[in-house]
Amino acid sequence: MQLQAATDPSAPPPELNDVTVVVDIAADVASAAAHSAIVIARAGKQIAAPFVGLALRPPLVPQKYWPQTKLQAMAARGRERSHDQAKLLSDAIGIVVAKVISMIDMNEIIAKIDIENVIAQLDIEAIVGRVDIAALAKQVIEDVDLPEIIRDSSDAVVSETVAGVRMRAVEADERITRIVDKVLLRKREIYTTRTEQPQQPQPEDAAHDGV
Amino acid sequence: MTASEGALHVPARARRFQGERAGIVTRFIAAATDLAVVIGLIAGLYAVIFGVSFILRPRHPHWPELGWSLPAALIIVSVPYLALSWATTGRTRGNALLGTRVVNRRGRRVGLLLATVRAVFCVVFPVGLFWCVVSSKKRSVQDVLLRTSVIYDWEHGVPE
Repeated sequence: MQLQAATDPSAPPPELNDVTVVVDIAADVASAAAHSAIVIARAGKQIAAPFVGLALRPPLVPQKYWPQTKLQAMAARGRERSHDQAKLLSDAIGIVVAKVISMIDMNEIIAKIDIENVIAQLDIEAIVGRVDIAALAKQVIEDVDLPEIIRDSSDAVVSETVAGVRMRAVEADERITRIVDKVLLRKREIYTTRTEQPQQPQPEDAAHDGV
Repeated sequence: MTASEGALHVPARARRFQGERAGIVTRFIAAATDLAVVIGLIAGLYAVIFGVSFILRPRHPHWPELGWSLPAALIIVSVPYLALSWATTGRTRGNALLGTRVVNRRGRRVGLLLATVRAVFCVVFPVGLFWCVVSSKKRSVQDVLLRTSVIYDWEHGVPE
């Protein structure tokens, strides 16, 4: 291989009348030319940059008349049109697909299918055998989040218990208040837990007014 | 937090007395619960002191003498506990359990100074609680002196 010969310094030099050597020389020349072109282009870009900038954004000319402004506007219009065309194409495809689907008689196709035959050919046991039931069950249990359900239930039970304790305490408060009121011959208009009379709406700060 | 918002979380049978002053049974159970909490905190404090002493002097660990230190620990632990609870959420653990809240004369949360004074009063003169039995407005001695109230408030949220 010529490549090996080129990279291996101990290899003997190839014959100049060989066609592959000519190709290698052409490749080397092309590579050198490309490298030179890149260097020249970079230098040219650096040299031409101020002139290009001057041409695109000429001084003493309002920005709206700059060639750069015009070019940017053209680019924006192009983008917009390409977007519109893409949307138009998408709509057209949607219409065509809908038309094709409406032309298909699914009932007729299904009627032609021999379901019994298809089922008879299915090896259900093989399919079931491929399913990892244990992993599936584990996944279902993980998805159900049993601890959260138990926690919610426990919270509900605790709330019920606390509400019960509070209600008992309130009823005891009222009982004692009534007894004390009777002993002290005191009349109270509303007992908080009395249910014989309809409840009278009270302002929020009724208990806080006055000392 | 308005009464209507709170009513969403309160059972229907309990709504009619929300905002009313709490009676002796409710307040006594709340106070007993707070006492249990304070005893637990003091026990923890003593355990920490003993643990530190054991680490420093494993052969002769120091156990705090209950005689003189207990009243001091009671005040040191209970006053900040009560004051901070009332000044921040309006409820101690006992208040939260029984669904009550301490408010000032405007029905709002008490400030830190008022809460501290009330806490000192409650710790130094706990018997003052029983004045709410004969008080027509269900106020303890501390409530009368400091113009505070303990009301039923089953709402879970932090009062304003």
